Amino acid sequence: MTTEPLLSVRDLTVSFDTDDGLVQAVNGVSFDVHPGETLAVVGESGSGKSVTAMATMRLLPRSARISGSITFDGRDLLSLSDREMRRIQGEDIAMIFQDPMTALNPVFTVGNQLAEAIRIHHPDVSKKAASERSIELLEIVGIPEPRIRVENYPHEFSGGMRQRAMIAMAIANQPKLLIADEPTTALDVTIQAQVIEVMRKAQEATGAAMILITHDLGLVAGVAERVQVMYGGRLFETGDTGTIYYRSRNPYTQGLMRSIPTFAKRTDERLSPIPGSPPSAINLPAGCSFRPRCEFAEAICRDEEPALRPLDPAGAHQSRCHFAEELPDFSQRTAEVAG
Amino acid sequence: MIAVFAYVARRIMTTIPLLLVGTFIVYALTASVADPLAKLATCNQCDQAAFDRLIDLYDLDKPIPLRYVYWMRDAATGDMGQAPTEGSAEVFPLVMDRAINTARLAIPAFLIIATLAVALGVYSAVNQYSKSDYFVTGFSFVGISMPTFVFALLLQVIFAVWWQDWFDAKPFYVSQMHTGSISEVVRSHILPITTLVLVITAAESRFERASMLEVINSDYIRTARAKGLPRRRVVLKHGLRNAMIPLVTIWAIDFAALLGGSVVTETIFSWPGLGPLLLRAIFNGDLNLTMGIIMFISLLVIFFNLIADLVYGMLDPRIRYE
Repeated sequence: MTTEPLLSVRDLTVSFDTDDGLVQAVNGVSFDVHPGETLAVVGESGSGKSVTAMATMRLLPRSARISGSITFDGRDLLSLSDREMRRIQGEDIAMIFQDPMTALNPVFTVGNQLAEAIRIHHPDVSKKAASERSIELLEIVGIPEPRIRVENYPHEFSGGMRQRAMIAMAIANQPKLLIADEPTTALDVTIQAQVIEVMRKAQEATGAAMILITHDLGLVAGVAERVQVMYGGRLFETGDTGTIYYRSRNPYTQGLMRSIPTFAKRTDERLSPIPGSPPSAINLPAGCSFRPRCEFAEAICRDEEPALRPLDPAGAHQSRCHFAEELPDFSQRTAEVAG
Repeated sequence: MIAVFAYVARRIMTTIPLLLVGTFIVYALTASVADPLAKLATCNQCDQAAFDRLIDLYDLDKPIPLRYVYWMRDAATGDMGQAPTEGSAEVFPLVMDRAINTARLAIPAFLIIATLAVALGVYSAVNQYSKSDYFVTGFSFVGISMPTFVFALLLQVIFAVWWQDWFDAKPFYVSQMHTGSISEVVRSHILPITTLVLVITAAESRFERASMLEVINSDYIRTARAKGLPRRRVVLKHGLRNAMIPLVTIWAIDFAALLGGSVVTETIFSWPGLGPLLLRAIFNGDLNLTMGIIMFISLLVIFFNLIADLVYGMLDPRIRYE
């Protein structure tokens, strides 16, 4: 953690003006990503995790109001012109999207779309060389017979293969940062682990840092070094993966853990979903936004919004909860229940 | 490639029963209301011999299905009969002659419509809710709501009548297909073509706008942008081809309709095309002529539908001919 961060997001706030009012999608989010590391961003739908990623890629619609700063490799992305930003998109930062069924253009071959990703940033690469490189990329992501497959259209690929092709496209230019937005959500469970493995390999091959956005905390283990949990557009907890898994100090994170089937099974605890539903981004509840669903909520939670507080001297583990220190350990609690 | 030929051959085979059923319905209906003998009923000098001659000439003593079979048998050999209400002219050359006149309006009009509709639709979609988008959608709204004859008459009054009063110049001819100098020929084409373009572009550009809007909000456009492609390339390479696929069907319908003759436009501009001819044939109860034109229009519709299906396959690799 002594290296300069590759990506440094400070006080990022994103809101949308809609007919129903101002939607606060992301609210004062700050975090760093260091070269080569993998950061998982976890949260339910509407927690602002995808919007954070889209803001970093500058892919939000013009109607989005963005404030704060996003510094990548020493440059403030939010102040770049569209033209300058295009040089970074797909070259230094690449993105893998959620639904591989619709993320590839149906009327062009996979090879065409791969070669395009290369040649738009490296016009000096010949068509033939770009095509050779496309085949090589398909091979890296584990597509059999890449020489034949490169000529296929997306509809001739299965969902898992399409996501592999998307990963191949993302690593085509050896980016420094990969942003994967729910890359396995739309896939069969049996394919999910394979695709995560391919992403890890792709990351190894390029040395890229990665932001893995997911609503599935179970996916994160063994992939990410650090985890940050988002809720209602705010960061709720951040820390090393092990810390978050075993010593979470936030009721929301603990709730997410209890809704992972394997965790619940291991500890004999019943699978217990978090009651209620995520807050509306238009009318966030006063005080702590998780309060209405929180089993530990007290009067102070309604009156005062908790700050994101460091829980260790280095500040590696931070939690947004008035009772962070008093909360029972997740592992202890489950042990009690089991015993 | 072989699959495509087999597909076309099969489509042409299925055309035959379609054409038979279609023409039979039109024949039966027209023959039921168009009775050549009715015209003679009020004729004082006509004797029984005149009636007999007509009955013999048009097989009026035979049932309609049988008369249809006779007509079809002749039509299959290229003999479409004569048009008694057009001075007994041969139907086939007459229809072809008028079809060429109609095509002189239809082909340029279609090319302009297709280009304009795509350009306006795409521009409007890419700049959604901008002033220019409101302008384009406003124009198409007016174009769709106003009947064709209003445009045709307005254009005539403004550019062929008032203009001459104001500037003492004759920019366009008010009516009729001129055959003189090139300038005269061009000037007589402009107003009717403009009428067709205004009305049909209005509908098509609206359709293309909707189609393009759907495309630019799709995931693969976001992927293209995430690759760092310039906006122009995102729209023109990744957007346009997808957004044109649904338009192809509309083009096939509109082009076939244009080549089949536009009754209102051609009538208002006294254009000797298929539209006024068909109208006259129906009013005069000219069975052979009506059938000749209907046959031509049916073939146009069938042909352009087939072309549309083939173009589909070229634009969209997901479509297979099996």
